[in-house]
Amino acid sequence: MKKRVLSVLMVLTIFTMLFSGCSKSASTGNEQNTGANAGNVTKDTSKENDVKPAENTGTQNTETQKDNNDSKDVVKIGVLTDRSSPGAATVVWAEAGAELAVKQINEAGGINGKQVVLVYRDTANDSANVAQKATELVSEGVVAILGPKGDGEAPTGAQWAETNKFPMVTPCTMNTRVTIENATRYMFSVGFNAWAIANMNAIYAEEQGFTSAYFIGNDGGAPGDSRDFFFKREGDRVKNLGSSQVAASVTEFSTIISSVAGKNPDIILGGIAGPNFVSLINQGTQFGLWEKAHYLGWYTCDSTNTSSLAEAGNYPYGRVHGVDLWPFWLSDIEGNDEMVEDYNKFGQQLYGQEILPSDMGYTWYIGITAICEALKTTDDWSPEGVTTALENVHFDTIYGKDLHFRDFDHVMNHTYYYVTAVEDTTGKWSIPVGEVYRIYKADEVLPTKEQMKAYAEEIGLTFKDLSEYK
Amino acid sequence: MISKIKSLSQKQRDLLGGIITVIVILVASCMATDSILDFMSRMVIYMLFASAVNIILGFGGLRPLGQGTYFGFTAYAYLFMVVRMHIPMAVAIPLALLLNLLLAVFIGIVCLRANDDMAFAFMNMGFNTLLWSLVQKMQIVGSDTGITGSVRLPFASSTKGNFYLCFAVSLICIVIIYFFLKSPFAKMLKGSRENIERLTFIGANTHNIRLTAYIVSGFFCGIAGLLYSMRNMGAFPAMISTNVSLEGLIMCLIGGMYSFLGPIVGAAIVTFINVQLPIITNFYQAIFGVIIVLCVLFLRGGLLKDKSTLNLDNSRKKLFSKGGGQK
Amino acid sequence: MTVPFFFQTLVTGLSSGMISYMMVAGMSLIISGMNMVNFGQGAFFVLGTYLTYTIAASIGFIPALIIAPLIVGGLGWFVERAVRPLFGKNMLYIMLLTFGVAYIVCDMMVLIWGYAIRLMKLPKFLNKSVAIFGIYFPTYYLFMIAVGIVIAVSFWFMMNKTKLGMMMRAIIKDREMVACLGINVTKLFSIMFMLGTGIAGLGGVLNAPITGMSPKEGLSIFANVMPILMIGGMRNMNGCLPAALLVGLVNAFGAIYFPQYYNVIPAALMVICMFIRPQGIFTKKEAA
Repeated sequence: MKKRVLSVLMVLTIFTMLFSGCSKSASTGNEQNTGANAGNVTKDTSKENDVKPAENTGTQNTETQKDNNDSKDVVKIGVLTDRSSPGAATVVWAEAGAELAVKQINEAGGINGKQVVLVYRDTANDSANVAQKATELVSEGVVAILGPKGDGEAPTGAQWAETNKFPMVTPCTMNTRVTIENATRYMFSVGFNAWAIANMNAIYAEEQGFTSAYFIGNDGGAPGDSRDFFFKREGDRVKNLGSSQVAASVTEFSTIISSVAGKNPDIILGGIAGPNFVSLINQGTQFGLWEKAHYLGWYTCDSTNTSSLAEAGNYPYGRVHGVDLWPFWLSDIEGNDEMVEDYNKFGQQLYGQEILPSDMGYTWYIGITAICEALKTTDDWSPEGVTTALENVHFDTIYGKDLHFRDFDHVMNHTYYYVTAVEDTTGKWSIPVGEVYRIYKADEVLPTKEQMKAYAEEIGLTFKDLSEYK
Repeated sequence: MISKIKSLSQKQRDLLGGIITVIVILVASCMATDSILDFMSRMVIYMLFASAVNIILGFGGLRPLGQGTYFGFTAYAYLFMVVRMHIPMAVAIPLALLLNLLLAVFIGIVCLRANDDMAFAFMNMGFNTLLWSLVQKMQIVGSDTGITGSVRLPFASSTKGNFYLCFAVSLICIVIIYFFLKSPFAKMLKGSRENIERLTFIGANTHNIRLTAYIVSGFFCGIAGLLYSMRNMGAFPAMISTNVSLEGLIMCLIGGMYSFLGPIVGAAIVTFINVQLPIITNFYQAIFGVIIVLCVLFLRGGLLKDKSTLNLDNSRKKLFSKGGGQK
Repeated sequence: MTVPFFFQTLVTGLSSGMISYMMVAGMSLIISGMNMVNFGQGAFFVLGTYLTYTIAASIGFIPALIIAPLIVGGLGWFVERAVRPLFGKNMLYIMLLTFGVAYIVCDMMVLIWGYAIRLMKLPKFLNKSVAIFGIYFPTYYLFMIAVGIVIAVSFWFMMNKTKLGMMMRAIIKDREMVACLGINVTKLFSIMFMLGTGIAGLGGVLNAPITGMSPKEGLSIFANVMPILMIGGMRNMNGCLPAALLVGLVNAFGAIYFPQYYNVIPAALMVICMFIRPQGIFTKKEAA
């Protein structure tokens, strides 16, 4: 009898959740809890009970609360995020960057008087969800979308943008093949560019006189690019000792490190991020790898990668070099320190976490800023209008002037900082800061149109010059 | 009224349930927006996938932890042929399905060799993981981005058109599965689920029966994968991962392993949860976990049950409640 | 390949095998003893890691080695109680229930510790290198091998020389008979499960200082060690250690010759072994 009652309660709970899923309002969240909790009363699975009440306090109900606001006074920007796959380890930094941009714009008066609001959808790093969640965002009334978050989802995003003729700005690092294959005038990239990274690493390797390299990277197109273009450029000078590509779920690098150490490379080319980067650097320190070799990569001073390493005290200062976007340690840039502080505040506000500056957060920040600046320049907020505005937008930030998207491939002309990660002597930063080796303007390192065309021909694809579609 | 429904035979119940589902879906699709149509095509595809998994799970009694292999493999084969090798779609579709069939035969033979249930389950999962890792390594199948391309059939390229195509194909396949499960072969399959030793004594080749069921299951999973790749216009590593296989199992579990309509209902519920819950809360995976735990503990056998299973359960209860026998 | 390099690779392979052994040993015990698969093992592993971060920060690493597995084992006790009504029923239910538990535990970790990637500071006496035959080898990896050997030996000792172990071996062979003899099988099952998850927690503790972990990895980490289970033989606990070491060694040498396909090696090895000996390489064929 008890079992029957519980079974019926369970069925009711499931159906309640389904119907509340249809209505999508914050109040039914409470209903779900009480229904499911009743079913748990007789079981002492107290751990499961702990989750649900807390869930209400930590929820990202941003969009449902804002839904109740008067929609005439707000302009909505959609965000495709990832809060549930293993890649969600960096979500706090990313979303804090976006919210930081929104705060700065709203404080400056919003866009033509309207306040900006972000609407989030979680794609869980699964490309199959991108099209659907993006369509949902459009039906919510957003004027542009920032996303997708994961590098693997970028082509689907581009495909959706092209099919639905809706502007999308992505902070992903897309590899060159994907960029060419999925080129569409509705997709804009504010992220790193794999070819540019390879170029910068190559210049550094050449100037420092390194002669042999080994590549360790994640599975993926962008890391592969950062290796291939490096050797394309430096193949005569730098010997290719081999390459290991590991899945994102790999945590044990000791076997790779020991095999690499035996080959004695001058540099380790890194195409690795997130937990793998932390594991690799840490385990490498154990094996003394960084005393023999230097690491060249990107996201060099990004705190998602460095804070845990610095805390553990194992960071090989002075041996890690690479590309960075956010020079947060340059306190003499006006507005920099406030931005860093605000960024940390958002991390605490959104997820209850202290966060230090991160390049990933910076790309999200620039993405939202670009969209908003574009919206300011036009009254036509239809998809076509916003796309044209994004194609033509030019804006300044405290770090650089005249940021815009290149007309033939819609890649943003970031100013790249090539740095060596060193310990902060002022004692202000607990994470490594960058000793700037060189500041590159975008045109110095991004591939030119001719180079992209030549590469496209090489791999048998046709290069689409997006400026012809304006 | 309720007694009238109870007195319907299993066949009539299935028919009634099926017709109601089809009508509900068709009606909902007429007034649905694009994003809801997207969601519904995903739901319909997963209904086919869950029914296919249930052939070997509920009716075959084995535990296939790796049916996602066929789901993803067909998608990749199809995309690869159309986008990279430029084979026309009309040729690529049967070719992809054929390759999938061959893979199912190969894996089926290897996995069923050991004659051990647990080994079967884990070998299955092992192949799934192997293929998933391989797909992510090879640049030629797109590594972590997968292969994208416009692979929808020309007469079904809009969201609405594609939905109706998915719906029609899924409906036909599910009906075929239904008739397959009513055949004498399926009776033997159910027998191998209940008491395999007795069946062997009768002289039936249980190994071949299971193998055939596995191949059929893999084939229909492949068709579901093909439809999914058309819906997404791409094949991604997530499609061939173990998460898909486990989701298929969960759908069958929640909906009811021993009935025909069970997996279909389960697919609807799980897809709904996966798509709608993340909008409400960040911790939707925990809630999903709680639902699974509660379902397993209380709703063993799922929401829907076969009439024969229900009768069996009732008679068992009567037997025990009369004080006879031990629990 | 030079001799020092060979030895370094050998030791590396053994140590990486030992870490995998920790996660798998518990699972193997649970499978052979209780005939159920614990899909949530990865989540317990990661939970052990996260508990270490907190405990080591306040008390220290060595106490964490003892406390964290106890806490994880305690959680395992709760899970076992939830699983109890399902004994004897279809194995699938238990698999899916533990999978659901894994989801819940992972989200619980996100709730308590947040999303960030974490690493732990190595205690000073372990953060060095030691020269063996002239090759420098990190002390911590030797420490891991040592702990692994200690665990393996104590396990073997417990299983073969103590009364508790005798009862457990009996349950593995013939559960009903043991119940008939009047021994409290349910209590033993609890102990088995707690042991199993506790060992996984210990593996997580050892993992904490060297690997960056994020909470959601608990769901996927299990797939990395599943090949070891298969190669060692699903129901053979003794096959676990040699299988783990074998996979570790093959990984180590494979990393030199097949660096690109490095993490496919365990799965490929598993498929090959299944072809040759489906019941597991280290299992004797049971007399019919």
